Amino acid sequence: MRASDARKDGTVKKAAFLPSKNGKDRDGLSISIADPAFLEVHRARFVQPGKATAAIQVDSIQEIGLTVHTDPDPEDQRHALIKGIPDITVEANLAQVERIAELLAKRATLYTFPPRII
Amino acid sequence: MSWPVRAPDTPVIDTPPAYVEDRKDAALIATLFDSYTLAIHERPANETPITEETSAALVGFNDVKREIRLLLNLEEEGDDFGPVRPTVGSVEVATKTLFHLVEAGFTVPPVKDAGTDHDGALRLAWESGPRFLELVVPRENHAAPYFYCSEGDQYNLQRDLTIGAVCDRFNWLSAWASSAAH
Repeated sequence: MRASDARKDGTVKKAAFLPSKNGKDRDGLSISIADPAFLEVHRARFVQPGKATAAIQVDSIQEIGLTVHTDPDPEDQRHALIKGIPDITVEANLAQVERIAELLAKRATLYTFPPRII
Repeated sequence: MSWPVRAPDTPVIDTPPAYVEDRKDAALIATLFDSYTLAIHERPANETPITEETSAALVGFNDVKREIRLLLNLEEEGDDFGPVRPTVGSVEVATKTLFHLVEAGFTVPPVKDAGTDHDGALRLAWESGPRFLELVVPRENHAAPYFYCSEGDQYNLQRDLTIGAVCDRFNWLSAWASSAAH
């Protein structure tokens, strides 16, 4: 997510969980499953200027009626998608999509990667 | 390996980078903001006079203006996620909407969040206890702005941004703080 989507107190803005209208999130919101074996892969991917990382429990995603599906890709074998968010481009879905983003944001916290052990 | 080389007689088209245009936008916005402030201070005598409430309301409005200016001054127009800087059009809509409150003598509360989403929509959020209110102004000129509001299990999308509806919505937001104080 954008660094600006994180507040100073470690909470996360709902904008971080809003799917884009341009269709890139049509299959689901892109996430990575935390895994110590892939820590350096995720560090390289997410610790970048202007970016920040949020952490959210899979349970808390599921409790609002969404699902998490593994979607490994060559760059990140622990890549996954949050599915179940209605199409944001449909006007009738907009309130629900905003609500889901709000609920996800409330359940997320800013994540700081542990220092690299040399 | 060969590198593309521009022939010496190729004319160089010196187009200004995008941010030069953006600085013009920023100047336009500054003028827009100032015009709103002047509008409230330079009213003809036969119009509603400036009251203490109006002056207090301007303080809150100026806070919002400051937040929006920070967004407009962002160096980059976009990032990997999408546009980051709001458009002149979206800033104008947000400013007009909130200026309705000032005209009604309503103090605009301090914004909790000011930013853009991945589609470049301007988002200004307020919170009062369990009540959350967000003004969303899409980047596209044809898309209508709206309020998203929530409290506990209830949430709603409000398309009506007429003066009365905006004032009602901010009254709803501040009513919780008022009731909590008593």
